Amino acid sequence: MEDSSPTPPPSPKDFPMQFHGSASEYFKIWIVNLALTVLTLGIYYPWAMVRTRRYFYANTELDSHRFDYLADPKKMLKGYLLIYTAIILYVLGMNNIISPFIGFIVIMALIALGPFLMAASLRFRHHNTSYRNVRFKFLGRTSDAYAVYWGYALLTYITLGIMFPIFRLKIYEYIFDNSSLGKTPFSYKGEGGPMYTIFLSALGLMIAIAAIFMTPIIVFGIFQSGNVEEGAAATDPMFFLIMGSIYLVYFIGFAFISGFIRAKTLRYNLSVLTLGYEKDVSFKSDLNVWKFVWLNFTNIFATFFSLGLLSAWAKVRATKMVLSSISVVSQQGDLGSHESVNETDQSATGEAAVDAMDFDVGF
Amino acid sequence: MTTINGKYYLAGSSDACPALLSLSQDSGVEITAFEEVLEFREPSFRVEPALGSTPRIIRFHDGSMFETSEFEKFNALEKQLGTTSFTASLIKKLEERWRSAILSVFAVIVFCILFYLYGIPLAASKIAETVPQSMRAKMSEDTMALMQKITILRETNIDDERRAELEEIFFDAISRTNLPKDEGYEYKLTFKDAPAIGKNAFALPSGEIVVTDALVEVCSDDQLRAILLHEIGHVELQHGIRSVIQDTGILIIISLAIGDANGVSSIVSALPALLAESHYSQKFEIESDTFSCKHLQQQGYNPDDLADALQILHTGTPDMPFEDLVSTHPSLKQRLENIKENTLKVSP
Repeated sequence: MEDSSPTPPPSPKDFPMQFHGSASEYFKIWIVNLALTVLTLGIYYPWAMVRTRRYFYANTELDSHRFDYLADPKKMLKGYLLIYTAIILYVLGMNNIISPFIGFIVIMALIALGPFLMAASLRFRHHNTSYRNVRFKFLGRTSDAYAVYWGYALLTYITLGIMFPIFRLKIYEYIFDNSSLGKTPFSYKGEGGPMYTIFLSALGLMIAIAAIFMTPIIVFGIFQSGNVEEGAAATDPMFFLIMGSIYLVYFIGFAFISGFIRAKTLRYNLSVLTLGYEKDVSFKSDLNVWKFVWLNFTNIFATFFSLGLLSAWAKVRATKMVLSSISVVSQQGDLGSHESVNETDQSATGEAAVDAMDFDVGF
Repeated sequence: MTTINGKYYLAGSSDACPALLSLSQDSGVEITAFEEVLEFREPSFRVEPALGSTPRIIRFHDGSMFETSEFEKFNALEKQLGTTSFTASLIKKLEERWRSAILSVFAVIVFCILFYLYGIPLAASKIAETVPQSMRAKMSEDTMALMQKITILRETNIDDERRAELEEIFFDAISRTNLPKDEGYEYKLTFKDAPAIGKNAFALPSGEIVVTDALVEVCSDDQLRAILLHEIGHVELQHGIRSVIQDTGILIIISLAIGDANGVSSIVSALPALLAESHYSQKFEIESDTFSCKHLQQQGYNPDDLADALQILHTGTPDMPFEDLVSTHPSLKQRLENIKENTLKVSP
């Protein structure tokens, strides 16, 4: 793509992300695939998962090119069967139907293999995500996954949670800094300070919500307990009312805080992420935190009260808001040319062949 | 000859250019791009199955691809190529129509209900049949140890003579049930002083049945026989093991389903598990009542004794809101109605 004629100095240009999915279209795809999954006792799940995920990727547009998800469901079936078996053995063991020792072994194996599965999952997910016919790559080493998911988790535990924002930062660093689009690397320059700001304000919000909602409940509870004779408390309808309110507050708080953290971390992570050797492609999100919190809140309630039926609508709605808030900024005026990594390069890095697993790892 | 406008992406890089796609003479496809004509024949290309209104894609064996949003033209070309598999076009059709979406909602609901009402209980009773007595004994030991932890089970205050009388009633009732002997249950009657659980009796999978002193003190011999037959019903029908397996099944399904949902589920999942477990448990209580009724009549006793005993047990326990939904036992009214029904059935 060399151009010999003299060109004017490039000016930075914004490329907004667009999402073309529609809730009604996705609902039909989702429910049909769910029905097929249920009727085949779960065997169809990898196919359903690939189709529903591909719907989101293929409807995401940047600079008039679409993303795509290329995973082969047949290869994923094995990984899922393994995880199904592990869950079943664990639950059977915990309920004494088979020896609890087997359940214990399974959970220990899952903990021991956790970081390994995480790294394998990221490799698989990236390898099967493409943009402009170029696959993403994940180059993170499994040993680093152990350092992050074990090391920093342990540190968080020892410091009674004080290190939690650093733990999150290291996870993001591990994921983003090891990603590339073909051969073009991403780099992530997140810092501890802003992470602490996000999680401390989330903690502050949590305390505020608890104070605002719990105080009347506690006062009411104390007031009521004076009227109820000893011992009858557990069967009193008042007891149920109070427990119900506490449950509701927990629910509201959860919906509120989870939306807040997701919006804040998305904005921050994108602001410190760049693409290219020269780091000339950067990202930004102008997601309105309170609008997103409200959306998250209404999504959770809609999903709950529709017994899951509105979850398809909720997912499209959230994706639309998040993606349309993102734009990619290029200093060169275009998004550049990216070379694919060919498979011989891949095996030369010493990493094992791409493992066929892709688990949703909540981040 | 139809030509389709789209984009051709080169292999190995992100470079793309506008391109035309058409059928070639030997039933392959032709790409006109970069002022060149490229020809591909099967199996050197693969048409990606259609999905919603996302662009249509053909991938070529060299790693390049063609993408278009001219859906109608592409569909016509696809038909001529004859590359679409039957399942792919069926799934696409199902995904497009509201009728199949609504049908799917019903299919999911009906399947879940059937699985819950018949699938899990059937699987549980099949598995329970394979459990040997040694394992039932082990489970019973664990249960007793757990009971000891959460409530206090003290030595009984009932004198030896009374205990001998009741044991005679107990073994007499068992021997007259004419149940198959090869199941290997080790029947045993245990008396405990347990104020925390009041007037109560419970059965363990091994065949051990525990009655509290409070129960023995308030019930007549005939009523106690009815209660003991109810507990024997729990043993013979393997309710203990079946309920553990059923509850486990529900837990497994909920944990597998959670993997798909987002965030909400952790708080929401406890409720359906609780509802399912109490529903299963209530069904077992009714089954045991029916068992007791049937054998009382066969042995020449009156099922009213069971009804009376239940009424005695029920006095002093307050009604709770939503009790029918979350309790392990059905309401007294339901149980009495069931006894009446079974009394009429056997002796018209």
